Amino acid sequence: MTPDHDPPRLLSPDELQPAVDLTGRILADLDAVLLGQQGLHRLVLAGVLARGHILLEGMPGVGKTVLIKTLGQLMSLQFNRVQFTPDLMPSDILGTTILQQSGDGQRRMVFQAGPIFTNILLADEINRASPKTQAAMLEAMQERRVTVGGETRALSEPFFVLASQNPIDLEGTYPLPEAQVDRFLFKLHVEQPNVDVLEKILDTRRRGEAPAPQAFVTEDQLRGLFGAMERIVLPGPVGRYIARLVAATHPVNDTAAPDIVKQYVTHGASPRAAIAMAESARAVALLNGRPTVGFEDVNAVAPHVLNHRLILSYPARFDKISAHDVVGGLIAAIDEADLNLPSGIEVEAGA
Amino acid sequence: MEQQAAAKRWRGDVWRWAWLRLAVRGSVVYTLVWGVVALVVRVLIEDSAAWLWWGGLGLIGVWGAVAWVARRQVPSEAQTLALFDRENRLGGLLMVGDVEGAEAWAKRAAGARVPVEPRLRWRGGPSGGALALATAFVLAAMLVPMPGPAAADSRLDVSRSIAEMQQRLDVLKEEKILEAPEADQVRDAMKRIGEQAKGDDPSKTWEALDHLAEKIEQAADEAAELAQRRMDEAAGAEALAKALGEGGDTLSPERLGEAMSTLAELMEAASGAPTLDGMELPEGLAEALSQSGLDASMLDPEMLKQLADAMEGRQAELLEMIESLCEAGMCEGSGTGKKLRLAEIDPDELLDWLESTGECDGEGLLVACKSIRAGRGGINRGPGHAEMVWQDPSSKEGVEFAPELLPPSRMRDLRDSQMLGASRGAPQDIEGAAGSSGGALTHTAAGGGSAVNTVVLPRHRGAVTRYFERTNADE
Repeated sequence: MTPDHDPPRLLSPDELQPAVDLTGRILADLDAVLLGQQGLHRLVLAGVLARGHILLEGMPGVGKTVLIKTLGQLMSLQFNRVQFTPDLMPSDILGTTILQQSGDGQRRMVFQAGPIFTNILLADEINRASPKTQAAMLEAMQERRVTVGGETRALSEPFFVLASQNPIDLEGTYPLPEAQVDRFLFKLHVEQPNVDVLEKILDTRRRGEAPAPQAFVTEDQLRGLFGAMERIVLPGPVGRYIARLVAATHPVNDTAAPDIVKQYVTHGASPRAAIAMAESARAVALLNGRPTVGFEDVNAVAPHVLNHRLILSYPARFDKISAHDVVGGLIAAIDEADLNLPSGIEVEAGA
Repeated sequence: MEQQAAAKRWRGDVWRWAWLRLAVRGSVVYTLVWGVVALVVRVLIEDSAAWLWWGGLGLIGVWGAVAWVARRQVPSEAQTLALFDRENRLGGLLMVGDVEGAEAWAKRAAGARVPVEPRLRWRGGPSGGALALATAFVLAAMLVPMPGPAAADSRLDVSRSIAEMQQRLDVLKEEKILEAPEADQVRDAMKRIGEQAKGDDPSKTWEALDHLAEKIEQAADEAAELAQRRMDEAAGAEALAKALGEGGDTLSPERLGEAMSTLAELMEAASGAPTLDGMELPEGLAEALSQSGLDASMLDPEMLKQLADAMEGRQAELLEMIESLCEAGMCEGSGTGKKLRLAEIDPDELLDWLESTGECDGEGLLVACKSIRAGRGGINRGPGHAEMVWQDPSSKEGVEFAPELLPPSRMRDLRDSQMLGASRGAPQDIEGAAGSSGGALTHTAAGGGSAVNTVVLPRHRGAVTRYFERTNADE
């Protein structure tokens, strides 16, 4: 008789090492293609390993498309890009049935798959599409399947959406509703490269053309990568820390919420945020070469998991308090180990 | 395993720090309560400081209770290992120590095998300061003298005053000035006053003692005055008896009869109180007197001599009584060192007076005796009888009065005063008490409990200021 849950067993160092090597090589290639965005590359890869969708926010020309395109090429994954516009219809993404005449002269309705049937979909400037189109695609993101004409079709495995939006030039845009934003694992801000990086780009990239990446990740390797992800252990205290973090984002929770949350947050994060944080922390642990999730892994992903899930109040805008500031205060206020030492007794820092 | 052992050690440290923290705070609270209770109890109950120290044993109970509370504040082992994991940056490896496969990772990470135990720190400065203040408070509550309660409930020691009065009372009783029942009544009153004397209201005690002392002094004064009168009468009788014995035959029978009547009158008076039993005369003399009715013809010179001796003895007896009263401080001029002397009356002069005067009754004879006695005033020739000398007035240079030691006042000396304590309330005038007069004590109520409330008028302030700012004390 097989038990419902096998007792956990840590990945041995030998079992974990191939995955670590593979992710290291992927990150190295990404760093070679897109200069000066190492942190972003780790988070994007972590999001991919966590099988989450990522919302990239950044100014035009900072390399969002190049990053996603390179990632697809490295991992031998199918890649599609859709430029969202106000007149984009759901069928333009999901696909539609068309009347087609076959060789024998019979006519029948045939499903013409849209660009969403891919492994990696770059939804460029997603906030420019109409809400109807956004809703159609975001449903597919959550369900990982598409229903057209009464017939449900599963999307490719794996399936990731990496959407981008421009923080400026908001005229004629349709901001994503909170319920739809919640379906993104991360919301990552693509920073402008600094002077040194720009100089290096000018030295090494003629007309901005990045070196063509070589696909080296096989399907088996990718499956092994996700298999390793499944065996990353989330210790109980770390899981409780994630739960306390998410619970503390709700200002109505008087006992857990720190002052900065009570002051600047109107609505906190959903349980989906806790799940996303746990999964992405597992991915970060894997990237760090560990079979277990530590507090530092959670703290590394918490700002990117929570920043688009917190609805800030008007005083936050007035005081120029960003979601990152709130999450930073949240992490600083909550003790990871939940010691609840008596007041006045504290652990010496750096002991 | 080493991780569990380290966690156990660290949790023990947490328990010790938590216990210390709670013990200090609990001690602060308990000590403050202890101090307040000590203050209240010391105000209400006299001599309670000794057993109040036993209140310190309550600290042991407090420390025991906080030990139990501190145990509940110790983190669990899982929380402790999570802390170790975070502080040693082990990425969760320490938190899954019991999961299969963890040993392989523990070999790679030294911290996972023997984690470094984070050090604890307690910011106990404010608590320590509060404990020091609380300790100082309870020590002050225990050690600071409480003048109010001490004076309120302590007994007033009037034994010395009562002993002095007892001594005087014994003298009065011994000299039969006070009857035994009356003396016993005064003695009982003194005993009762001594037993009921309390420090909270000493004025009542002192007033009662003053009343008894005044009563004793009044009895002594009356007895001394009467004794002096009897001495004069006895001296007169003695002198008259001597005069009659020496020259009674020179008197006319009528004059002799008057003199004998006067002698009988003086003898009768001299033999009365204050001696209760009266004067005892020799048997022959007494029989002769009883038979003769003081007829001069029945008293020969020998009897008159015995009568004079008896009167002299009577004087000595009365003088001894007066001296006893003076020794006990119950006569005027006692303590001055003056010796009392018997009156010396010249019988010849008295005989001359008897021959020359027309009347001879008791009062007249006494007045004559006083005039005859040297230095006792009375009717005599006086300074005017001295010879007038017309010469230069005598110089006052080098002349000074003989120093004379004044008797102690009723207030006694400062060294005899007793510290009864300090009253917490404002002085109150005693209704009906006579006020003092004269100087700064004008309008000050007698019997204590009164404040000097003399108003210095503006026109006098300059003089008062100069008096207190004087540099020479003799000014």
